[in-house]
Amino acid sequence: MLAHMRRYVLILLPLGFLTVFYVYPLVTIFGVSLAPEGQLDLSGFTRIITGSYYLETLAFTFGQALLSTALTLVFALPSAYVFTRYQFPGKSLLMALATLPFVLPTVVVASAFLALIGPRGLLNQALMSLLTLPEPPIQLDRTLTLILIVHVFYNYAVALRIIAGFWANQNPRMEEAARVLGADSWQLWWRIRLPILRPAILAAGILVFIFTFTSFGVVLILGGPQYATLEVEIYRQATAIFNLPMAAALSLVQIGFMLLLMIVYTRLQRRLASDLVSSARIATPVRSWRDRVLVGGTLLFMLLMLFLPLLALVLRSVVTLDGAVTLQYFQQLNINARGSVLFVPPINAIGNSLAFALVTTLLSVVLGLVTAYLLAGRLGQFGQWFDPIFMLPLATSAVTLGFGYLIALDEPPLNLRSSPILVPLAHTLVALPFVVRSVLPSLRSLPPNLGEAAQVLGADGWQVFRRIDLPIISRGLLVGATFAFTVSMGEFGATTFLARPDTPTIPVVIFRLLGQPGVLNYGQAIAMSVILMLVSAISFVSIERLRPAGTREF
Amino acid sequence: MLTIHDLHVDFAGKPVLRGVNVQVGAGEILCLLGPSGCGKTTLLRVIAGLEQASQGDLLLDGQSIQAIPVNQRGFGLMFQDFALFPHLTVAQNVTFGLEMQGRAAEERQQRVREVLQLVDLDGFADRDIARLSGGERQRVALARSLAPRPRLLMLDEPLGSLDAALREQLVIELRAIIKRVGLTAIHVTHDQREAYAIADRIALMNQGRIEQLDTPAQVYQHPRTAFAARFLGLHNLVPVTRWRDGVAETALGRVPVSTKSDLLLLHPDHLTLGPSRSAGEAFTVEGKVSEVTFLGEAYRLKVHHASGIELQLRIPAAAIPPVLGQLVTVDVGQVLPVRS
Repeated sequence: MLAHMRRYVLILLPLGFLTVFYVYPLVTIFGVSLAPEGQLDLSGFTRIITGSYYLETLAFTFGQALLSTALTLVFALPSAYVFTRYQFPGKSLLMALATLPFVLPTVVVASAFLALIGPRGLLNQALMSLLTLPEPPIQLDRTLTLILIVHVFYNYAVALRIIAGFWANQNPRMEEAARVLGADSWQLWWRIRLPILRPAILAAGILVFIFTFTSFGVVLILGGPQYATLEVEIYRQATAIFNLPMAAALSLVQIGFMLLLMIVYTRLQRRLASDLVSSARIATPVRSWRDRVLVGGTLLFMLLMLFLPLLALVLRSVVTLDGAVTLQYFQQLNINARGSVLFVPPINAIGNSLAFALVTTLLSVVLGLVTAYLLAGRLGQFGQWFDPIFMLPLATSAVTLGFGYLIALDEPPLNLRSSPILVPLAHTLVALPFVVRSVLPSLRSLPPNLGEAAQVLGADGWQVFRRIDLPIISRGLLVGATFAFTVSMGEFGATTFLARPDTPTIPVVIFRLLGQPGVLNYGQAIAMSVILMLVSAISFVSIERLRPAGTREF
Repeated sequence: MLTIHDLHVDFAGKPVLRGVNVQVGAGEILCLLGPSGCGKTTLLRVIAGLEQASQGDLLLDGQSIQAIPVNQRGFGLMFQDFALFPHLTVAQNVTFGLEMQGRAAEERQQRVREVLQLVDLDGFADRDIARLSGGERQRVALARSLAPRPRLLMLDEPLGSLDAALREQLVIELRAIIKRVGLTAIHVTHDQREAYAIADRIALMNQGRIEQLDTPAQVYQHPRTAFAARFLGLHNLVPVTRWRDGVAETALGRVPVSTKSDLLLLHPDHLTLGPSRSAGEAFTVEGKVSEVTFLGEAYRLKVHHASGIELQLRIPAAAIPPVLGQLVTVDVGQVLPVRS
């Protein structure tokens, strides 16, 4: 009886959280959107369909996501070939570093690209002084090109990991069999490699599409006013024009679309996991000139694409526009400049971010653990149905979420508007899929008869969890916790809505500083970005060290 | 048909094959037998063109094929894990090599039907690879390598991943199919029983060299080296301390042997349990029974001689076995000189 009670409590905990802090705010949005005056009103939707402006936004969101995805795959596929095929020194380190962008906050990445190729960026400055040009030669600021470049920067490693991880698990004898049967290298690509990689390419493509479709910070900061994804438009409608019904209708369109993609993605992902065939090693040392060109080219691309912007960011934070080395941007972080957009010294944001991140980590680890048990079917077979639903927060725009909190949780029965808990709650929702995905593989691979063996030896349910399950999944859980921490530190979309003016987080401060004119604001934004990058990088290194071998659900 | 001449292969400076010489006649099934790491799979992969030799030559009907890339050699290779293409059906797998040859669709269909029939898989053409059993996959893999009518069929432990009962049945079918088609084949295995059953000749390999090249019966009855004997499970090896005038001195006594050697093999097939002490000329060994194991078709005995040497022999299952510690006499019918 007690065991049953406990099971229901465990099932209800994550479902309840999801209901109150995800479904409820969203349903409230539906309400505001569809029935603003208590009567069904579909004008928001008809305006989306009829008004060319919204259709254009939709088309742009779709188009840029499609382009970003295609570009990312075009770059990631050859790299996946190189990473699968060759052994070279520093390979695993490089793979780890390449994933760093993925955990970097959008504001940091945007700042990094501004620091490299922005009007005041290092590259432009260098070219201007070198060629004595009056104007910055690279004028990518506020162009689609820049948005696409940054999207590739962000998602390249995600696609690389999924494809290379899948590829490394394929039986290398398959290619040999095809060659013995007479296939030349062209036929090998078209008839064997690409068809076999199809599920991985598709999964990577869908994931990248999801990420770029909901792109917010990158488009907002780098795109300027003429470019808006749905996500950015939701933000503008809600904060600039105060057209809440319109924002709600747009959110709804986005959520419906994302749900479809998530269902496809979780299906595909399960197939990727069950397709593991062989652990034979494919990688060979670099021998011929062709090998060297391929490996060298990949390394050069990664260096230029991934590390140069981050390097520029660090350099820019300690070098003034005149070229003098300085620490003033960091030193002035504790000064609340007069006439500043901030109510508090920027340095305070670090404390806020850390506090929010710790609460988020705690919440999402507890919830994530229970959710993983639910999804692994440990609390009943039906649990697996919820898989795409718990992935949904990842695909729901953070802006929609923050916006939903704002209108749903500011009145009875649940009035949290003045409570600082709102930020970590939203962060937990965003971090939850990461925790679940980190724990789920080890939980799924945990043979159920281990628990039975322990029970026969006299362990009760709690002891089975403590002594058997927890030690086995602890690494995955730690990875999840670190993910949660990093996600919370860098979260921007929801936080812009929810953080109160006197308790801004680091990304919010960076965004506000970047929006202001003046060298000092720019320098401070870069300095804050460096701090955030360092925190993310440290978390990331721990994730890489902790990650159990062979578990890559992202 | 195929001549392998003084073949050497190094992997990162480490020799894997050190001078392999062997000829395979047309229509012959040659089996490369040896423990893992002996170089048998590497030899197969060099013949297939998947690895390059660092020295030596490969001749097919007198022509060197070393420079021909793998996809133009026209050989068939069956892998241990079959390496079937998971994204294709059974028929699409089998037809792959024919498509690479540029055969017409009609001819391909005809050939696929023919080959599937040969391996007893009629009606499997449109099945998914994932839905096949281990034995069925093995047949598809065989059909796929047979379909393009290869000049030479190579099989790399093709039964290795199957369970014992299935293996025993499939090895017989495999030989029958290869013989029916009249193919020249090279079969790699580490399992001596599989080698006995399938091969016309066995090349027993050790540390990158061919240790012995003989018919299966010869290899079993007359292993030439201590390695060969031990690998085949023949452990009754006795060192010769001195040899003079056709008599070898050993810890077990003096034995008449016509040729000089370091070791003598007391083949278990030629050992019987006494007490036929009457036969004055026969070589006998006395010892205590140290182990009795019932194998089903026979008992295996270990007899411990006072010198510390242990002899293994079998007695029929119908016999009453001696008890542990019992003093017995072993009649040695034949001794074989063996190189160490």
